[in-house]
Amino acid sequence: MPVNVTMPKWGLTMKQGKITKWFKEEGDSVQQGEELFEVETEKITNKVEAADSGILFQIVVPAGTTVPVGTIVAVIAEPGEQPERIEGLHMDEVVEAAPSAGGPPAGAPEIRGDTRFVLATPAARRLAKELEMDLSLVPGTGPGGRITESDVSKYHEEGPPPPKITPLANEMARQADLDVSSIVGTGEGGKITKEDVERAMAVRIMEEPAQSLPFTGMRKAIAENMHASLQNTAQLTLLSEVDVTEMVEYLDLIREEHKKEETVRVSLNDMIILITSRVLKRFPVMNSTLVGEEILIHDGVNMGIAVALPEGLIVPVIHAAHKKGLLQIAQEARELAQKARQGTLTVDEVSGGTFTLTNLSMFEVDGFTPILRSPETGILGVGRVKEKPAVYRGEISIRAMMFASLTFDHRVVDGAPAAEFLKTLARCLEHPTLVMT
Amino acid sequence: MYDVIVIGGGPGGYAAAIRASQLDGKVALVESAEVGGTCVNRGCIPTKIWLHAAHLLQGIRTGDEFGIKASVQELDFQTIVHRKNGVSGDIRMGMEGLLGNNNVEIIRDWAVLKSPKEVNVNGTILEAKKIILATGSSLSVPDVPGLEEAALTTDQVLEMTEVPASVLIWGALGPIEVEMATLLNIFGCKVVLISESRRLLPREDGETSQRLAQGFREQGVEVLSRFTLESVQKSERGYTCLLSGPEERTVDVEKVLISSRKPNTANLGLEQLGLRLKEDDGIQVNEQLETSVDGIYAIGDVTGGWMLSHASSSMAITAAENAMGNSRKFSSHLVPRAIWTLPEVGAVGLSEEEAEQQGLDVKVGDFPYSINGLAMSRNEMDGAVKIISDARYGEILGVHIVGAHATELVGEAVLAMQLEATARELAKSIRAHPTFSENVVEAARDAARWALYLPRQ
Repeated sequence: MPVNVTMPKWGLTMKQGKITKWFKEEGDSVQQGEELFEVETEKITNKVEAADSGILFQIVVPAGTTVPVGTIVAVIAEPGEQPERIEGLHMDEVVEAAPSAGGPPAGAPEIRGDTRFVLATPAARRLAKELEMDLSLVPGTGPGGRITESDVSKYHEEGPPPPKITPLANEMARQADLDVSSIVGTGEGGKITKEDVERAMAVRIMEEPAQSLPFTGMRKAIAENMHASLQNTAQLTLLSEVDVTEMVEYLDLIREEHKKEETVRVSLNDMIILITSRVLKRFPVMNSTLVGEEILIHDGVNMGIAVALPEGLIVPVIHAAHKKGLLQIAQEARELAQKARQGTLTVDEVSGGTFTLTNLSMFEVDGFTPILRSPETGILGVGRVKEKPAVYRGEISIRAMMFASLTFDHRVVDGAPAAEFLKTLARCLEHPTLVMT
Repeated sequence: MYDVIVIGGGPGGYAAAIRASQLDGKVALVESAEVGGTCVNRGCIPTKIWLHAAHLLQGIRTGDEFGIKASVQELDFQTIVHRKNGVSGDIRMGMEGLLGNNNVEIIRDWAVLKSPKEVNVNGTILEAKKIILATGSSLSVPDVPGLEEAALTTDQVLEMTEVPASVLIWGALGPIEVEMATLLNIFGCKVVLISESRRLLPREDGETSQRLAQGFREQGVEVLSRFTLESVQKSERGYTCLLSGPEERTVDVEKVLISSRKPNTANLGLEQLGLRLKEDDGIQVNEQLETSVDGIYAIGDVTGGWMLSHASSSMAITAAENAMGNSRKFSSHLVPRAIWTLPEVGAVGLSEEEAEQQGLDVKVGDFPYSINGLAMSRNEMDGAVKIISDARYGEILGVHIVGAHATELVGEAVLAMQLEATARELAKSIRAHPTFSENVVEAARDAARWALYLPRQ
């Protein structure tokens, strides 16, 4: 009986293969297990062994041709047999097989026991079926590695044989508490080597993390908001370095003025809130939200203040900040931050924001690119104040410098007006008295 | 169209051609001079004949320790040269026969690369799917004023019919230099061995260097370190060598040995193809031994580094298999070093210093020859086996043997390392008694802290 040789299927994703080389010519005798041809796929190049012995009667698909899996590529006949020659491409059984030699491509550990073509006696197949066993796991001891009935029953009784492993690899696996039967050996005859164990250890670091954190609740909400913001808007960040020496001096003055009142505590951030909310009034488009098909320009400035919490972050809002004085802003900001940490903020207190301020100075960050809080148009990022040599009135002197970064939605406002806003804001941060004009 | 064209017919090219042919490749080997390369004609093999003669002479001289009182009547160097030529010729003939037997076409001409798939051989363009460069190395005279005139090359040593009264050997003292020192010294030449670096055999374990230097001093060789040869001037009886280093000094000798080698990379068309070279002028290759140009492989001395015959012939297997479509890596850490000095040196893997530099936590095992039964019986008690192992897993990182038959014993270490045996397992291995190989097992036991035949620590 002539036997059709088909393009094998290596793994789930293989659709076609290119025959790159025939190791035999028509008329050559072929032994079962001998290399017959070489196949190149998108992933690997490997050799295909003959599943039967006989004479290579016909090469249907010559080297250099790509054909789908299951295509008849050759015919092996018994000596003297003269079957009809095959014309054109024909499909036959799809043989799912593992590549014959060379093992998996480097760096791609494969899992043992995946589908592969197995040589087995009919009795072995029957027994395996009865015992509901995967034949491909059973090592064959018959001719050419054929699995016999006794191989199946032995495997059933004794379980899998221990894998071949070098002493060093074994010691490394033992100390790392790795299951050697899960490691694919790439050494001689599939022996597990040091390199294989090192690879398994590296994979485990990734697959078995030390800790698993739930991705739910606040974490999940933040993730969704941030991701949606980045996906749905056209964000752009502008950066300016600002000389805040005057503001720092002004702040010292206020602190000195109110040093006897315990309830009054003012920070630089409070001043930035005040100044930003005043400047926003002059650039209405920066104090807007994009909702549906409309850009809503807001009359009042509701300033969101990002507060870091152990489990995430929350943005309470100072409503009508543009109307409030410094001491009031300072007090409200402190109360809101306290409530945020206690988890007692009301829905109102975290809603209605028109612009946001985020300050990372306490982490000694110089500058960053904040992410917009949709649907707001702008967010101001504030870095730390650092004393540096700077040119002031034509001379180098030590000045308190700070970076301010403005992220804005380019769908709503273009670069030039946004830059104009940042420029004015920077100027007012440098000279706080300008907000009075 | 050939599957593989191999350029160079030394131990590397020869092995590569046969391996490619075994894998059903159509192979040509291009060699402009004699097959066998440096190894067979001017290196490993001829020096072993000379060194065996030296060892015989040494044996006769020390025979009275065993009651054999013999005197040497004559040293006929012509006979040694003759024997050397005979053996080299026999090996060449065997190689040519085996190449033919493997259907390798031998082309006797100079080859120049024209493209990654074309070789120009005297005007004829041969096409090949892959090319393996195995062009070896040649002697190079260091740029020292006056040196050329005083030169005695290693090639000339192997053809000598009389021994110079004194020779200065200078440079980075590697295997070639110390073997030449051994050979010349036994035949009565006054040898001055001058190391440019801190010690001789700078790439070996520090203890190996120490043991060998001590051996040389006992044999009457003068050993100096950290000196540079500044100039050589003709003197009445030979040459005056001016040295700089810890102090200025002069040494008067009859000849100065020329032994340093450089990779043969010139006139092969490598520059036009943009083949990258390393700092030591060897061709740069990756782990698969492929050069910076796809489809061109390089093996052996032409890749610089250790320049050992067996490194070349083992690289040949990897390169040939890869040229025939595989993708195997060359295990350079498993290349042993064998040096035929008195006593011999055999080593593989990392030295103790290298292992520590790599930040490894090492456990060292030592066993001296002096308490080995066979060594005592034969009065060959100089030397020791030193095993460097990793403290955590017991991995054998390096084995350093100085002593009788070290060049053979190192094979045990290579096998153990290749099969990834741990020091603990080597410690449980059985050796015949009395043999030198017992030392290897006992050193492994010492690494595991249970050496049976050493005093308790």
